[in-house]
Amino acid sequence: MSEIHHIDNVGGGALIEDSADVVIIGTGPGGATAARVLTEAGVDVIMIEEGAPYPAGLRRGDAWSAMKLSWRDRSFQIAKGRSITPMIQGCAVGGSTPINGAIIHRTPAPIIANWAKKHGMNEVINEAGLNRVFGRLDEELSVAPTPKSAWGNNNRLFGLAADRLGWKAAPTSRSVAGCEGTARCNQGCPTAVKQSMDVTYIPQAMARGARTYATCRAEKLLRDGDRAAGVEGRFRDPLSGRVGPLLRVKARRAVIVSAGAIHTPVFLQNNRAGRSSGQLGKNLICHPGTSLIADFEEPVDFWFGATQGYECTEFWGELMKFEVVGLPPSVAVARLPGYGPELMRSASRIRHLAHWGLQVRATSEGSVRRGMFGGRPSIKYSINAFDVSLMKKAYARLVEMAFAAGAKRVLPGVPGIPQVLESYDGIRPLFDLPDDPRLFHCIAAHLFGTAAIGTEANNSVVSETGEVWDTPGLYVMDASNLPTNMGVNPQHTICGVSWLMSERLADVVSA
Amino acid sequence: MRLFAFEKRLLAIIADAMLPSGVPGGLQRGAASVPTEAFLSDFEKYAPGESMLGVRAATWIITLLPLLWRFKLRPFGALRPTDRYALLNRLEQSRFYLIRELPNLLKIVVCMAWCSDPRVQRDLHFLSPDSAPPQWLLEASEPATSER
Repeated sequence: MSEIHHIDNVGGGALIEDSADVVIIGTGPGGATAARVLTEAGVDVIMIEEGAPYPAGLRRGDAWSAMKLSWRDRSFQIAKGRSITPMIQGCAVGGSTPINGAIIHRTPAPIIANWAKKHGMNEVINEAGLNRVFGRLDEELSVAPTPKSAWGNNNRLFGLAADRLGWKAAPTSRSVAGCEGTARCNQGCPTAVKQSMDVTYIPQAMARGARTYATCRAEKLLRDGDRAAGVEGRFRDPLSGRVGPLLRVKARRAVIVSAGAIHTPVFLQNNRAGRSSGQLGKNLICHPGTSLIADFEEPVDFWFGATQGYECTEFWGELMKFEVVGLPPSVAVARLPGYGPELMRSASRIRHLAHWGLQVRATSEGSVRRGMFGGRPSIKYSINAFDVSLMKKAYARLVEMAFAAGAKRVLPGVPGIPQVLESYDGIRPLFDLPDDPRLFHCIAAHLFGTAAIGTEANNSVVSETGEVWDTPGLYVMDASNLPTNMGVNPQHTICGVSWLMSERLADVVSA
Repeated sequence: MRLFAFEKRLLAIIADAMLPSGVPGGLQRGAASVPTEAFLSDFEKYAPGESMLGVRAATWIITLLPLLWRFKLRPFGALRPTDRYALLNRLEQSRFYLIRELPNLLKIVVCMAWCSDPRVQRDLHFLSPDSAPPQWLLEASEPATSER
């Protein structure tokens, strides 16, 4: 198996050339799964990744070093709108999977039914096919409920709250082989037991002959007539910006773009592909989320236990889901309300604080456009009033959970609400506030829809096979082609959809 | 984008007000009690330019805002500590969103710098994930709830 090529080991030449049957841009769940399926079918594959390898030895555990080495724009990727919404993505070999919570959900059946009915997804992407693939994914990625030994108090108290309220909750199913509960999923698993793509499908594909070029940003789509025929990219040190050689890879059969819901549409826009419907870059949808801090009499020590080891899906039908959130200590302190002595007194109780979060299946839509002069993409996203009203309801329920578990105080950090709540009644004034997205400090971690699947070239960017309507041989396999959000964490769905599309592509290549 | 030395001094004053040392009933080691230069230097070097622009703007605005504050007419660094705390807390409660967010951006940077010091991590009782969990926690990890 060859090693991963990157700017420090590719040599100092001006041009590196290679060729393969299929060239994949991006090594997140979509791209890595495609590589896994295609190489198993005997297809020759090259993967190109903008980010760098992020092995366990580099994972120090503090927030900043993780942001610096593995998060898109060092975690400062922002959507502009009525409020400032950080759009969290990874940028490393493995995409976001080295820094996500490893949470695994199968696509909910009502979502698949909706895709079939409204987006014509029947032939390639359907419930039977997805369920077949999910079984394989579960097995290969060691999917299992978080074991009790890795709960820690943060997760245990969350489960206790749901139990007391009679709400449906369970240890989160995650793709981890032997979780030790280091609470560092989002900084990169220090023991590399999380089954992220960089330790699973990428090495598997490479063992079957795939080559990976990391620290290389794909810039230009090469064409043979109208057909996609390869990719040009430039090696660049993600930290220093130092520029390396040009990479030119020819694709004998197909190019797959798996750069995520922000950068896939930008790559297509830059290369004048996928524009026939006018939908490219539109329909940016996500799961906005926020969190609360609950102060318990007993120590919580949230730095022990799985980062997101317990979840509550009681209200999934009402478009909301609750889960434990394990923050790095520095971020946890920054989330505490107040400044000065008040902040130092709150920080002195950090051992006693639990962090729980909510996400909503939002109806808001945004857009992505390429940045000016090749700069960062311009992302627009505003959380609408309906979604804010959902978040208010969800927040109140999360407060209810905290007190049900025995919290002495809740620190909501919502302007217009007392900074310290000592009972559930304290959150009631939240409902008197306007449905304004600026109420909450939100992040959006699951992004979809900017190169969506559809039945016709005039209403969508790609067909059900993932092929871009107006560019033969060019495919999209990542979250950008999912036409709706799902209300659950999307890694499994991205992998599943990519798997089914790749099986179809492998048949085409073999034929 | 890098801050000038005098801008770093302004930021250090704000950091000290955000996380002051010697607070009764609170943690004793504040932002001024730990070296943060190495972290800030790294942050300046690698944070996106727009973020550093935000840090610079927030530093200046918070420094100069008290000049417009009733009866104060002096920059942030010349205020008494209690007035500094009061100003920051007032900004956090502002009805104007961007004003509320100004100190927040600095708070995140300051907290990351502060927590980068191992002594602060000890103060917070933040144990290295490499260390063994305490016995009470192992016991607490046994389910309090019925299996679902």
